[in-house]
Amino acid sequence: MRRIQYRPVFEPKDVAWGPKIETNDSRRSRTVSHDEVSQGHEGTASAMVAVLLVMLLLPAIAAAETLEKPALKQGYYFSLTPAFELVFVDSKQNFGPWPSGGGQLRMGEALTRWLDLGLAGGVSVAKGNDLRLIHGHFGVEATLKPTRFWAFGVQAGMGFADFTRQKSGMAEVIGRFGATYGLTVQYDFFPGSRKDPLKSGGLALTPMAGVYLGPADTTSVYSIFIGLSVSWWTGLSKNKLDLPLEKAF
Amino acid sequence: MMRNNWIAVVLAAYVLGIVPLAAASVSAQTDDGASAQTDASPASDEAPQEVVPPILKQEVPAEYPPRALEERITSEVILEIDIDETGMVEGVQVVVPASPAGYGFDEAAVDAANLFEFEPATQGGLPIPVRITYRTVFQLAEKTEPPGVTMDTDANNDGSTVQNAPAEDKEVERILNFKGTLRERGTRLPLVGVTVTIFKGMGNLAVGYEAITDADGKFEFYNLKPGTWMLLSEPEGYFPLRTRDDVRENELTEATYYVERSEYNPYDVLVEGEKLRKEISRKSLKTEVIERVPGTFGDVLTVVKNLPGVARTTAAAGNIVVRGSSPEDTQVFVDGVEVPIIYHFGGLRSVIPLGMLDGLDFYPGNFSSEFGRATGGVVDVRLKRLRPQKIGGYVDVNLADSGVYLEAPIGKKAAVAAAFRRSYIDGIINAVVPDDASVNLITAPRYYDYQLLGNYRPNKDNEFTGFFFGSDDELKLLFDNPAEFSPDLTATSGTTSTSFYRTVLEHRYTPSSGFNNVFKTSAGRNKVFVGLGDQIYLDLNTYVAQIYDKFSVGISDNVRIAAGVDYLYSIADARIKFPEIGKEGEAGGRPDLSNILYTESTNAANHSVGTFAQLETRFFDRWTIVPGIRFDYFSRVGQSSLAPRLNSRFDITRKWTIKGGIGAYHQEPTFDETDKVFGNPDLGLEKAMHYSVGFEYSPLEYLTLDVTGFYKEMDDLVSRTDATVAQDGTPSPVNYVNGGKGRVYGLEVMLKHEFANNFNGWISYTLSKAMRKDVGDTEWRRFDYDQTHILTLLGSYSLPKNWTLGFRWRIVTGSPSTPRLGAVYSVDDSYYEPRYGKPNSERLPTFHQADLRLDKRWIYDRWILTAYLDVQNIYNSPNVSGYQYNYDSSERRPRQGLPILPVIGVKGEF
Repeated sequence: MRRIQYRPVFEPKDVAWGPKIETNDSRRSRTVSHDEVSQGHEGTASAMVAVLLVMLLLPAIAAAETLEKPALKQGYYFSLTPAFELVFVDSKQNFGPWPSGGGQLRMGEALTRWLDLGLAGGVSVAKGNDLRLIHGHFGVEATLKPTRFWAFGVQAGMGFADFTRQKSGMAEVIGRFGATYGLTVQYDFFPGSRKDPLKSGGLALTPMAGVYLGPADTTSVYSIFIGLSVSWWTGLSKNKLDLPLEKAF
Repeated sequence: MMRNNWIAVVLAAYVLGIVPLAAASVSAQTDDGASAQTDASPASDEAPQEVVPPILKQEVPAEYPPRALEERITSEVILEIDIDETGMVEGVQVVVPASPAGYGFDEAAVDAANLFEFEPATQGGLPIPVRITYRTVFQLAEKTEPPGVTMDTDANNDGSTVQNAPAEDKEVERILNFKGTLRERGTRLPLVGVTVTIFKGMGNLAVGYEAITDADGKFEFYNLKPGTWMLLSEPEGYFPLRTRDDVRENELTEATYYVERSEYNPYDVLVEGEKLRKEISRKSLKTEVIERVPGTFGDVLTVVKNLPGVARTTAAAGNIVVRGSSPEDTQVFVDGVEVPIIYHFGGLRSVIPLGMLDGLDFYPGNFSSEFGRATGGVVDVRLKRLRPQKIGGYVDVNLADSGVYLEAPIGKKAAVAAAFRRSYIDGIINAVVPDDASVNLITAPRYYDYQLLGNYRPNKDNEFTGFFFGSDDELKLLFDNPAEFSPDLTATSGTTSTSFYRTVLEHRYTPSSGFNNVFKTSAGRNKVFVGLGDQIYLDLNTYVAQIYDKFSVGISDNVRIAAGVDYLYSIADARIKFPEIGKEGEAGGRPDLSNILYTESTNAANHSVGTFAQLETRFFDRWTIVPGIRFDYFSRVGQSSLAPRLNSRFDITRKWTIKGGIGAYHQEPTFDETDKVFGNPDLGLEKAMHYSVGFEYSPLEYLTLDVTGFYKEMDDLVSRTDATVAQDGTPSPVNYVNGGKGRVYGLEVMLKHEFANNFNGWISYTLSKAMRKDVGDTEWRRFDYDQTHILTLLGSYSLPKNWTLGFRWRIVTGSPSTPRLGAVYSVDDSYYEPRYGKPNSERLPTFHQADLRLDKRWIYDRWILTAYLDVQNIYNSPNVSGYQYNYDSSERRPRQGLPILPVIGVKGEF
């Protein structure tokens, strides 16, 4: 079989990617469209005002760009949050506020520039009215990031509340189990990471405050908390970032 | 060293479209947006079949016409290439000739295309002839530096590619010093026809070369100068591959690169032609689409319970209640073979794993004459036609069970798959149940299932399938104090077990689109045991065999005849020592252990033969009429039945369709109902008439609204009677007669969003009323599962970064229940005998529940890990599943159903 082959010399400058190069090259057109998509997301994000809108906007979220511009909150995050809480108990009678100490573990991933998704769990201990309360939760966490530094978290999952009362030298334990919901507001600091615009991921310190509604059976536990979250963002690998040519390989 | 600054040509070829040469009537959209049309002849009743485009495995670049090269003329030619089922080029036509004409572009393009070789296009795994549109681009490129290298796109990697550089280049020795393979990350599938660029330097100093991967994903570069080169590839839909590689003097650099898709979406593999719709109420579900439905634990069959017409049953019930029919009125088939159970204990897991399934068809009513022996609905589970390109499979681990699935190609014509799954609920429960509990679990609910599937296609006309599968469920209990449960209970142990296996052999013969024949035979065993020691038990051991043949002949483009025979034989041993068995509509309560009946039979043979025929006609390309008839004979009741059925659809426009159907259906009573001790051997067939009328509206390609009104009338239902007959001079209870009646009517609405815009899901609503009238009753009563409103909202979003979010919300009218009006104290038994109100005269509170599911996929080079969190009843709705009464039935408290329940699982695919 006769086979002949022509192949051209290829000039790398013609396949450089990035928003600054005007071209009709089909390879680059994807980069251009990516920028357009990104701008669209920013516009959408600024319009987010309520959690319910998340569900309505999910199809738009899913239209993700292929390559992303480097950002600090990128990749997976792992977060530890020591917290101080004030706990209110609503049972046959109301108790509280009880001071409480505890912590949260969170892990997840930045899905877009303005939405993270992950898991969150926490436990804390409170005392008051001759009762000791251990309560905790585990569930799904969605974090909305309308701006670069402010974020709002929504958590939903299951929780427990164990009350222990010392009665005649005996410990009487009453347990509750059920759905738990939480709302948090956060502000991120990135110590030492703002100078490099091409850096993806890094360490973040995040003061946060929020409220939790515990198992809402016959006994409900409400808590208001403040905490300082220490988070590590892994960032994205180079092949998923929109980088200039000299940094891309 | 090449002297000419012009090395000729970029030859770019694009497959623009694919059209099967056979009659095409149904359009499908391929992944890349190209239009593909499938050969779905009007009478085809095969499952929706995927059209796989041909793959260019041997590209022969066109020779640049010398005069055009000399005059630096560029052009392009659009061709149509006919490719036969072996992948060879049958003919090439110029659709859009080159401009300017006269330089020989057309001839060069045609000559080259005639030498192409393809992997043939396939439909449903069978090679088909197709016509593709192909563009050949003749383009000049300026050389910036004498490369001394070549670009190799040798598709066969056989060294036959000849660099067509000017003659001066041929003095350069070709030295292969870089070769690589491009594979998709996670799946390891080769990336075919992808441009790979290697370069060094920047800006005007840069030099680089391209190659295109062949059918195995391989590419090669020759004569690269030593040094560090940058490799770039940007396949559409993938993250770019950017890497650096060193090329050393006199060394061959070889590497495999795994390129990650920007989204690993299980839905985007769905490229299928919808088969001709002949049924009125069929709901088809693809495995990939429903795998991530919350609350189903990734089990495809459990999703059936979210379709319109299906009543909500208790969480642990493994049955399907369809349009007001009893669970035993609905038949479940696995590729046409009847199976005794489809769910393991608890109804959470089906007995066929996901990997083996292609999908399922669900018929809540008015099913065609092909299906029989059922008056309710039909669930037809379709097995996958194995077409693996590599050895692969998955391991699935969750809190309830673990399973493994493996598949492998055997040559180019055969493939095999095997799977096994076992639960470990027994271990979990044994660890949780305290030692001092009054019930000890010897074998807490445990189940396992196993499957072996093989496909062999010696040629395009024939396909052989072998399938061996089975399932085993068992639960054993020990009672420390059986009297706690009933004063008459003396047994200290309880056992329930169900097992079955089947061997299925199938031959499909499809010599042409006008004729096909499916022959299958199956054999196996069902074994059921339920007992409390020797005090009461039910022990059934049944061997079954089935022979099935169906052929379909196209008389003309618009008329097709399908007919077949379906023979079922069983031989059973049975020992039953049981109190009276409760029936639908009867209030529950303590079984009367003081009145235990006994029966046994050995080698009780029964058979049932069914024959069916249907005419599939289509008029004016918009009106489908399918009259059919089915004849069945049932040896156990010694009766035969003739069941005419008619379904019709009329496409008013492309978006609007009206439909209607009417049909007769018959089935045998259950085995205990015809037993001489527990039932009545003189019982006859139960009958039902199905009526349906409705419409479908598809405002968008991915959105369908299906509204169906139905009415079902049931006669000769088996109903309990207090009558007696004289036997040997003593009165003997008749137990049952065929005197019951039933009627069900309602409306089913389904708004279905196929996968588009990263979302798929549906809204399902059923409005119905299901009533029964038992023998001797003058009033109608509610059916056990009469649920007036059933609303299900269900969907999955594909989020970025390989996350999927699924949700389901259900609200259902509470099931009917029979209240207790009090109790009468029995001095003899020291027991308060409850007094019941009218059967099913009150309802449980409305049920509502939301479930959420999150899936996350991690992509590794050679495998994919998926973790999921499935949270049932996420807002912990306190749904009532029944009432628990105190000792004298004077007080009751609700028995709550499933609380919030998170389940975590992981699945590794390779």
